[in-house]
Amino acid sequence: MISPATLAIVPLKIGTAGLNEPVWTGVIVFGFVTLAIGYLAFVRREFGAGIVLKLGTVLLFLLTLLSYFWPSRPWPH
Amino acid sequence: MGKLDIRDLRKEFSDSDNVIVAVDDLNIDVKDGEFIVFVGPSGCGKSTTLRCIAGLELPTSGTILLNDDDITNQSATNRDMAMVFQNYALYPHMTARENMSFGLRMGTDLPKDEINERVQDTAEMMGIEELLEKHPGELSGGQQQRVALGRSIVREPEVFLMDEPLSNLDAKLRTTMRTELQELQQRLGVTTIYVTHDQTEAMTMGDRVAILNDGRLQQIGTPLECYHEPANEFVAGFIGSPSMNFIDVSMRSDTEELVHDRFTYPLSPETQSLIADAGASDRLTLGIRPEDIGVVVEETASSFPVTVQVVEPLGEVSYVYFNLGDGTTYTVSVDGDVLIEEGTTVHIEFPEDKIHLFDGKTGTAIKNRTAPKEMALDQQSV
Amino acid sequence: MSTDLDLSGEDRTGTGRATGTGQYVVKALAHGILIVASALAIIPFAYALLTSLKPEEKIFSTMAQIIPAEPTVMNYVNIWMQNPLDRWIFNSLLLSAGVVFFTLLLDSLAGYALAKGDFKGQRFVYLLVVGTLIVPPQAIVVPLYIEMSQFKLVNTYWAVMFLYIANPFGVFMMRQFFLSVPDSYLEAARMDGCSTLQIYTRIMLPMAKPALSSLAVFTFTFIWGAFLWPLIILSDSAMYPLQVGLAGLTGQYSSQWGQLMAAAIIAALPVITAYLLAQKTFMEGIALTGSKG
Repeated sequence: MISPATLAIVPLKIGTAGLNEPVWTGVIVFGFVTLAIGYLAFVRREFGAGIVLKLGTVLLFLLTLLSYFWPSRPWPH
Repeated sequence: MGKLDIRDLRKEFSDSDNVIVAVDDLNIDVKDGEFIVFVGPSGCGKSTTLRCIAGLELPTSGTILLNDDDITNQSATNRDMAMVFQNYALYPHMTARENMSFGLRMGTDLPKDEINERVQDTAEMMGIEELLEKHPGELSGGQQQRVALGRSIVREPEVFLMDEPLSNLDAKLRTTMRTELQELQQRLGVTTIYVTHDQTEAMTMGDRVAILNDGRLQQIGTPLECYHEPANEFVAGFIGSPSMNFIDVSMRSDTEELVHDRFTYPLSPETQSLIADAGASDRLTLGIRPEDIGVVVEETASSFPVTVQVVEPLGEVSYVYFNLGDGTTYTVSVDGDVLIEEGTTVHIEFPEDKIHLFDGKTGTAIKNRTAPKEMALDQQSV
Repeated sequence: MSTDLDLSGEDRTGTGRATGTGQYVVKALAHGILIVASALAIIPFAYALLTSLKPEEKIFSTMAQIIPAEPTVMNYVNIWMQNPLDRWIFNSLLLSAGVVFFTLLLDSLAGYALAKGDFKGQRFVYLLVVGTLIVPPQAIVVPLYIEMSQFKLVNTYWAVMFLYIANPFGVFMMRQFFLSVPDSYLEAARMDGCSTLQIYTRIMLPMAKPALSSLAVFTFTFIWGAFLWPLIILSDSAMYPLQVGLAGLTGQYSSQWGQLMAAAIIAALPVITAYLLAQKTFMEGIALTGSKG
């Protein structure tokens, strides 16, 4: 029997991020939302995606990258 | 092929405590390529029947056969039917083209270019090519109607189901679309079931008309059959405008006359034997259409005087209203050339070959007017 | 067949306008009220913006001079350099993205089921959902904290997001929207060969675009401004969203008003952007849903 605490180790680990560590939550959340919004904006026609959804997808993708490369971000801190 | 048989169809809706029977033991056989109209007052079960045929409702009991295959429990998707809705139900986020191709994209695995071709062909036939790239919001009611029709035609279904498709159009456009729809149906030869509450549509469009009331089929037949030979008082009153006059009379057995407070009506031996055969009670309802009542200036043997209450001149004809002291207003339709003043007394008569007699209790027809000659000839030649 | 196709002009005439001086008085009054209300909303914001452009040492000496004599962006540079503002903004964006996306997904699904579904206990579920609206969030903060700590989720991004995902107001809003969609669209889709899920994704969701975008903006604004719950559940300042981080500065920099104003302006920008973007989508939505009947 696996205790809830053991199960919680993984989300706990990736749900937290120090100031100069990759933000794994960000990679997961932004990545997932990028895929979902991107699918609606570029693959499916029904949504009649406008510029907001399309640019939003790009922005979310950039944020996904930023989450992973946070420690090596190009601006001072 | 689109032969549709409805057998003993029954649909109940249950509230928390009471059961409402929307359709009660309905039997209708629709022939391939037939245009059949379901007509009746609102709540008569005509839409429910249509939705059962479409597969949008599951019947409580009974079977629906399409080309002798039982489709009663098949899903709406697999029935190969297309429906036109009262509000058209065009998806607002799709262009007319996408709306028309949607059913083919979802329901079939046709290749893309064949779908495009079919949509293009249908659009040309309907004269809506220039509307294909527009969204429904940019179209007028008549244009939306055409796109909605095109959407169902493009599917090439076995059966078209139409749920009051013209009722959202204005009167003038409705008349145009009525003819157009009829032409279209004849050209395509697809079995069509058309639901309406408008008896004009029923009379003018249908090959056959099914008249429903309270979930029961009252009569099914050609429009003229329903008009001239109504099966019962309901059909007689529902078909025809202005509707038939019904006068409650009683049968005097000794003199074989119909008696009303204001008149007595002698019956011919044929009619007497019809009444005797029907085994009806002595309470009868005499029905006569407004246009069949004769108005005479001079009193004759069979006429009786009435006082004109209101005259409604329509130009071509005038409707003259009178009463017989029983609280009901009766209508006579007279030629537009005849001028009748309100308040004057006229003499009216009911020609015996034009009267209908109904059982006073059950409303079943005992005697109908004799059918017009031309119609009889027509039927023989067919 | 192409007889009367130029009918698009029917019923499209403008509404008649009443004339007379009384009309102008009413209009002037209405505009007056609107101008005053807008001013009340804009003045503090404009004042903060202008103050943030003044050099720190001159803020109090030039109170009366509203337009700064020599505008400077030093306040923005300073607050950015001295605090992990970039990380806080990033955190806020992360929380907003997750919460907005899953709120839209779950609320539209729940709203659709509650509006168009037909299942036992539908009414009860609906009442339950709406009932949660009357529970003040502050009242359940402590139980929620204990719950999160049981799941070992304290000081994670997950804990912040979980609380806000699937908010009942959104369910209510989506349900109201789907109730306004005639059933015949669903039936037409079924006749066209859609499964229940396809009806949702291909017909209902695209139709709900205007409702979804307003719910998105609403949720985004709400999450962007969320303060109490992140403050309680997060202990590492590297994970603070912007509002919590800025609140910490108030005490620390009580004398540096220019920097605080600059931070406030930075914090407000995304919300303003969201509104401007959504405004366009609202318009599109209105044009799309303009079907008759």
